[in-house]
Amino acid sequence: MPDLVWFLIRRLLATVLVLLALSLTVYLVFYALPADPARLGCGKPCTPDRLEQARHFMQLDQSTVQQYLAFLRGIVAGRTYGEGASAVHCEAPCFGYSFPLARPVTTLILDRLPITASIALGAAVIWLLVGVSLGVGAALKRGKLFDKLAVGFALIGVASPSFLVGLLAILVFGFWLNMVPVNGYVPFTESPIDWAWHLIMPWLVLAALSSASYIRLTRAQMLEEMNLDHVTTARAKGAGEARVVVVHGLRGALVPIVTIFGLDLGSLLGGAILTEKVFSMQGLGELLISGVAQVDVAVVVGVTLFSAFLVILANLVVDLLHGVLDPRVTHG
Amino acid sequence: MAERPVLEVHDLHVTFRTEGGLVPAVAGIDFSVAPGKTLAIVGESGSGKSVSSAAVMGLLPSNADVKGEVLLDGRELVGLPGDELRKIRGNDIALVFQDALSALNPYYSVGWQVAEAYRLHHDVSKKEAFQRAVRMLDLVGIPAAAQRAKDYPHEFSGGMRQRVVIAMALVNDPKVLIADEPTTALDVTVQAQIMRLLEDVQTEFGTALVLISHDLGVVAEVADDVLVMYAGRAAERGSVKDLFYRAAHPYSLGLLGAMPRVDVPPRHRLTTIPGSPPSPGSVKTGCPFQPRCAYTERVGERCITERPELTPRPGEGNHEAACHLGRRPEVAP
Repeated sequence: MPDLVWFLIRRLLATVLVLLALSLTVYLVFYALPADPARLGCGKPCTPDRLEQARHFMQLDQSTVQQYLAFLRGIVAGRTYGEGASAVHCEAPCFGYSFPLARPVTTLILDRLPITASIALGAAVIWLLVGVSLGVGAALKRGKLFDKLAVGFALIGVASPSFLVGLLAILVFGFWLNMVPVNGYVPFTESPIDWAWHLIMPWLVLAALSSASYIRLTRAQMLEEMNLDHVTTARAKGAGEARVVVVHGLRGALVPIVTIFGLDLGSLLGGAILTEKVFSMQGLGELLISGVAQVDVAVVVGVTLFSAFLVILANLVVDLLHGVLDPRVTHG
Repeated sequence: MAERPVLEVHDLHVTFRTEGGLVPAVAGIDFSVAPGKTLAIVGESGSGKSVSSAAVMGLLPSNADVKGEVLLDGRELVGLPGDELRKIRGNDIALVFQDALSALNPYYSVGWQVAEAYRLHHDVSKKEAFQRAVRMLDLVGIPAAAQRAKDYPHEFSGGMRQRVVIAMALVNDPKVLIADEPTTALDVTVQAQIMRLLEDVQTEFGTALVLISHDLGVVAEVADDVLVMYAGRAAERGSVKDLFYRAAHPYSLGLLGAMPRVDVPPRHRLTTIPGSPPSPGSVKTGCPFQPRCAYTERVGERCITERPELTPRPGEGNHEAACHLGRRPEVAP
């Protein structure tokens, strides 16, 4: 299928352009800030001499354009800060070096990613199951009590801020009832049970809120689908009601649900900022927040680019899935 | 004529419960069809033709009340539990829809959809069912059926899609086929092909065909018997010859006058029926067609006060019309 190959090539080129534009923007915005990253790195007492030294070491004494080009070169070829014994090497692909954290940004992102991914994927599975099944139920029981409860729940979910619900959940289930741990992360490889046990609260809080929009979307889609002629055809063929709903009704509602799900998951993987903060999880969102607080340009640019890349990737995956899910879609 | 009817409908009533009260859609109709025969149900939009067929299939929404008798080979279908009815739908009675594009599911290949209809009523593997589907697609005249079975509905032309729908309806060798305006959405040339196909399969399988149509040209060509419906009731019924040469109800005459014909001497222009059909619930007394009828003056008060019942008329046996005008009126004034 040469059509698909060209489609992919075009989309990858567009992705690279978007990321370049984005990285340049983040760079420029950060260099317009009055804060001086070198001041944080120069130690105490910070004499003008030492400040100049730090600035030279961090390569902040070059012009903004030179710095940006050095950043781009680093992605391909790696980058070395300083000379001699004190030199710091950042291997390709180098997305900058965090002096406050004394680690290359690439390493930081890869270290934090499993935490964010654990939160995001677990929550996504729950909210997809809950949202779609409640949405289908609400559509089938339209106007009945179940529908009203599901729609009411969705309304509350859409309106509630996650930090508030998160803190309340910590207070009630963590402290008052003392049922679940309220913070900390255990790697999956260490103990899958502890991993899940520590994540259950963030999962449920995120899922409870995100499932709201899926209830509404699924309900609206199912109401439309179940009225289509081909659903009547399925009944006329002698299909049972469960088969009619799932195989003939939900199948058509799947396309928009998968679209929104892909985009939501893509942006969540770039950092569940509030949830990570509330549950004290050292994920990508937390990395970004502390990067901003410390004027750590390398971290901010790196995490922003990575998040943007995930969103763009999610878009591409969703577009490809459209071709799989809907036979009428072609990638021309 | 002598053959026992496979489908008999007696005194069928369908009423919808809506927020605005009860809305009768069908108010007591009778029809029957024998194996290998074709019954055409004719009428304007809203006359209750499609509701009647949906009632026979048990496909009406839950706010519809169905009363009366629907007998399939003598077995009562009205009031049958959902699961029993499900076994009959698509197996003994199958439906061909008007718009094949919307009647087919866009997400599955046509072969899969025909095979699904077979698998729902036969305990066979997916592969066997698919092979059966390919044979049916071939039978209804889809070229290269084995390859095309893997294609999706949007990849077919309108006529080919309607053939797919017919293959899907016939895959279980049903006793009764209900075709709801099967050719309305098609080009005229394709219409003729589809009607020929329906006739062919009918002869081959001995299927009883209930053809719902407002195309009198098609009806004249394929029907054995005709039921003319008006506002949820039977206006006239009889053999196809009764209707086309001895029509006794002014409404039937109006329909015929609005149709171009080549078999009778031409009149100067086609006629129209003034006004529009009433909503079925709104006629409380008298003849539902009375406000639009050109013969009311000749009959007088009775048309407004008394509802006409079906009464025998001259013809081939069971010719009946519901009109106070005793003898056959002259061709439209």
